[in-house]
Amino acid sequence: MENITKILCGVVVSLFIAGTAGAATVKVTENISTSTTWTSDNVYRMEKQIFVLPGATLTIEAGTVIASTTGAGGSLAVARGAKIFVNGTKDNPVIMTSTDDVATWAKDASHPSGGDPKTGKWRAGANEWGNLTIMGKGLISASHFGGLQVGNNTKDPSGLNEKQMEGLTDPDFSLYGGKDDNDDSGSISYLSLRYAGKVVGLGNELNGLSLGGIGRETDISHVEIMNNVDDGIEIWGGTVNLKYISIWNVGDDSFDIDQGWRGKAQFILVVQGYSLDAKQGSGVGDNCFETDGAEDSDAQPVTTSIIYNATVIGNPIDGDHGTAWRDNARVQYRNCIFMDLGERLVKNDGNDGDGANGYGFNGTLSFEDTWKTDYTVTSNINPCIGCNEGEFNHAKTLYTTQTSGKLAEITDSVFFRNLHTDAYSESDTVGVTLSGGSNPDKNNVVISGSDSSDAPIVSITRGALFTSSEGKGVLPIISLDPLPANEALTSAGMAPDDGFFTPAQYRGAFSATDNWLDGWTASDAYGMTSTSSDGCDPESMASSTKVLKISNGDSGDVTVSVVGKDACPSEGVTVEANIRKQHAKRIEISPVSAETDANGNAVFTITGKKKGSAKVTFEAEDLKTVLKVKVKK
Amino acid sequence: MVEKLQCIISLLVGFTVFLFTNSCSKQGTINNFVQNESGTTGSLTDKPLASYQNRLLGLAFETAAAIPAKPHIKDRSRAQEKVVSAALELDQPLQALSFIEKIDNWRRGSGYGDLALYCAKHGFTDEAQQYVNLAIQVSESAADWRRDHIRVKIANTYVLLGQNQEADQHGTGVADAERGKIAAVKATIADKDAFDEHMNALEALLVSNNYDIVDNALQACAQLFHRFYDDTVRRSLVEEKMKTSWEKLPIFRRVECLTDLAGFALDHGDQAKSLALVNEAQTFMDGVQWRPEHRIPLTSKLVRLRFGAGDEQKARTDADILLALFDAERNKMVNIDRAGALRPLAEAYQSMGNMATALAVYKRIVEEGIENPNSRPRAEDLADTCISMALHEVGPDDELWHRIHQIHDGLGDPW
Repeated sequence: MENITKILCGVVVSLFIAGTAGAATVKVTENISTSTTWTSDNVYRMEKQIFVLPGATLTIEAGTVIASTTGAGGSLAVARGAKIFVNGTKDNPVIMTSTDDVATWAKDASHPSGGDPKTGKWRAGANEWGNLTIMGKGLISASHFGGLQVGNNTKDPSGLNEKQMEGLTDPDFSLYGGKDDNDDSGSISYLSLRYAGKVVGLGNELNGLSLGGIGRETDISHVEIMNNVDDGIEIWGGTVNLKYISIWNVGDDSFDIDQGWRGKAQFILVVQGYSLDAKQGSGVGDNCFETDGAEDSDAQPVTTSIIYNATVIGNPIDGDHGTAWRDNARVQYRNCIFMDLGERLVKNDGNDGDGANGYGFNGTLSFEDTWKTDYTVTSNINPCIGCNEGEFNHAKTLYTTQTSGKLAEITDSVFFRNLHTDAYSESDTVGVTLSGGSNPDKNNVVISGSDSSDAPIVSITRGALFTSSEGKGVLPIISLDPLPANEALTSAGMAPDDGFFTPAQYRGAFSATDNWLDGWTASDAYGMTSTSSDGCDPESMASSTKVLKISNGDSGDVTVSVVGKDACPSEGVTVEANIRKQHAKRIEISPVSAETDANGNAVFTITGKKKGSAKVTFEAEDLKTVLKVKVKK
Repeated sequence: MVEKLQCIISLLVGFTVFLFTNSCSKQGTINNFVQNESGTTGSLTDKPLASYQNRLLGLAFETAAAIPAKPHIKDRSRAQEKVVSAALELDQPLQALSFIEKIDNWRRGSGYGDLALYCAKHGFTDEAQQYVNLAIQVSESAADWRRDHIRVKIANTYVLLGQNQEADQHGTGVADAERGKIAAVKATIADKDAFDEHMNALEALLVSNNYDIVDNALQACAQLFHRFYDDTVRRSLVEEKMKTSWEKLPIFRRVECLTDLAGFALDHGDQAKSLALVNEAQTFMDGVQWRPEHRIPLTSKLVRLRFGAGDEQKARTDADILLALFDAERNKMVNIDRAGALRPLAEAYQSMGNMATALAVYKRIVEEGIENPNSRPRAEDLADTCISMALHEVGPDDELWHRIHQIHDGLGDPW
């Protein structure tokens, strides 16, 4: 009862009907100290920075809309030791946005008071609400900021470093970092974040999704950031992996990495543009990828990560670099598309402007040498701070994601219409390109033509030139079919089948048949991406048998197949297995949830525990199929 | 009649197979583990255990299993796997198996791997093979680093079974971070003639400059230190090698390494050496500023070893200082971190024979574990506390039993 009272204290259920399908509006005004589920029959409105406190879990059901009052500064932060589960689906994503965005959603018979989340209209806008910040206990390197030591933090990977998350106002619950790279902050799937970035009471801005010290047991896939005022995603340290990420029209760097991120990412779409008429970095897109190694540059852990299958579409007028490199960062980009960049494909940015010292500092590898050095070769240069005797840092501390190649590389990728005079000057220096052209040794292709028919994606339509008050020009993308074309249709190599990566023998974020933006993103709802060539939406589901007979103690496998139109296999669909409650003593099933493979199949193992019959319901999106299990003696 | 005959034949065949497999089950292992501990050829059994320990283990698992799979499958399985480890540590393989089979994610494979390793260590070859096969089955569908986590246990089981080809097969491709763990198991069975070979292999890992490789190689060195303890020259060589290699590691890992060595010294009855190692670790501790949730558990382990090493007065004083530190710093700690900070201190009091204080601290731990209003952290803390009491042989009194059950029964929404 006490807990229920606390929950009710935290939210105020409004009596009026909100704009989405007659849902009630729930104002969230207090931190979440007791685990809470936000349900799709309500619209949640955060009025201030809301923290999920340590020990608490926030679960957000598929189809839930969190629409915070524009300008009020509502924001969601998940503290270290707390968890978040965003359980969106392709058909029913979770949307975090502003009331101004919801106001553009169409009214129809199903949504009489307005608010079909599958509709809406793109506007120039951002900074309308806060963001989603998650903080964990993974290792970070944040020994110095602005040239000053951060607290008692050290340059060695002590596991004791922690830092206050930028943009958050509560000093008690805004720390991230620790010594648990396997930390688990929950899971996120099918989440659309729109028009965000506002901070209350501070002069700085928030990223769309901020991940501080997030461990590898946290699962993140299918996340969209549309129109943020600051970066799209920023990751500080930790080991979290990300898959299926769309970042579109953000006001600063699209994908920003700091303080020693050691994770993996695959299927990343970056579309540069603008979100606001403001200066570049707070409204007009800056770098596509900005990768900082460590703060300070010789600290450990240093960013050492790998990114497969990114499609990066820059702003050719005044966008900045495709990949900006700072502070000893080591990143491998493979099977990517970089096109229409405003400036350079590769840019040694030296330092991050926050007082860190760039490549080569204190004997660390120079920028050029980082590109020539095998991923196995390490540095033993670093001073010892905070310990009693000589302590050295080295380049490969805590790093397991890179398993081949050089510490820094861009390989097996295609470059198109990067027309800045210096577009390839530094990529030539580090061997990504040769004299501004293809480098066959690296399987990199520079497409010589600039016609749309030469492009590595199917189509792109840009709107009228927008010029910001600062004088920066942007050619916003108003329509995109990101599926591969020409040199992107196949690649020389592909990601390893290591359980996280999907081996995909093409360049860029999309296969020739699957526009994974379809159905759940703002870009789709606003009509900005073509769904004409979409792959295989799930239409039916079946199990390999209707009746499974097993002996008590024995196990049997059941394959659940999900198919779409013309029996095409639906890949990447989450199938959940539910045992009827009263039958739970008779059987066990493992896993309880699985994603379909390239053949549209998910395999479950059922083990008999007690004689009798049991029913298992497999569910995926709106589909379900029932399996009967008979357990013999 | 025919059916009866078939039935009798089946029984005879089954019995023959049973005899054959049992007679074969102890063959093929390396010398150290050629027989199960009783020296018999009996099947896997749980060793006698005090009823309160059994009860605590069962309650720990029940508590972990009470965490709802949706959305907390990862937390639930992690908590369940901890109980499996505790059951194996208390020589309860059958109970461990019953727990493993209730784990619903990839950690079931990890549990099978641990059980296979246990069987291999104790000479149950057939069972080891059986459970390693189940671990392999689960590992094939596990993702990314989780797969390696299981495969290392598979490889280690094969190492103990003497099946080096299979060990290599399952160890190949395992991330660098995990490979040293295989070397650690090899070190536990190192033949005296193969010392140099093992040291050379470990040296190659120690100079790799990769944190995880070095860290795991140091664990392997600690095992060599243990195995060759009576050979002073070799033992010193290993210790020296460790200390010249760990500058790549953070302080807390060095402290943990020294703690391991001090424990091994005590196992060999060498109190003086153990105390020297404990003092060395304490020097590291004193040189760094720690948050209380880090300082108290790390120092508590040193207290336990210090007492065993004969420096009893200082050990008792240090324990009381840590308890006072907890009181002073309690409000600075996030409530979900408090029970975990105190638990090693209760274990230290138990090891010093101060059962009354140990029990009193456990009672505090139980209460600290419910400071957070959510049942997930409450369940995790309660399960950990039950495990700790079972492993350290602290039987709850009636009052504590009542409280533990009360908390267990009260688990529910909000999770």
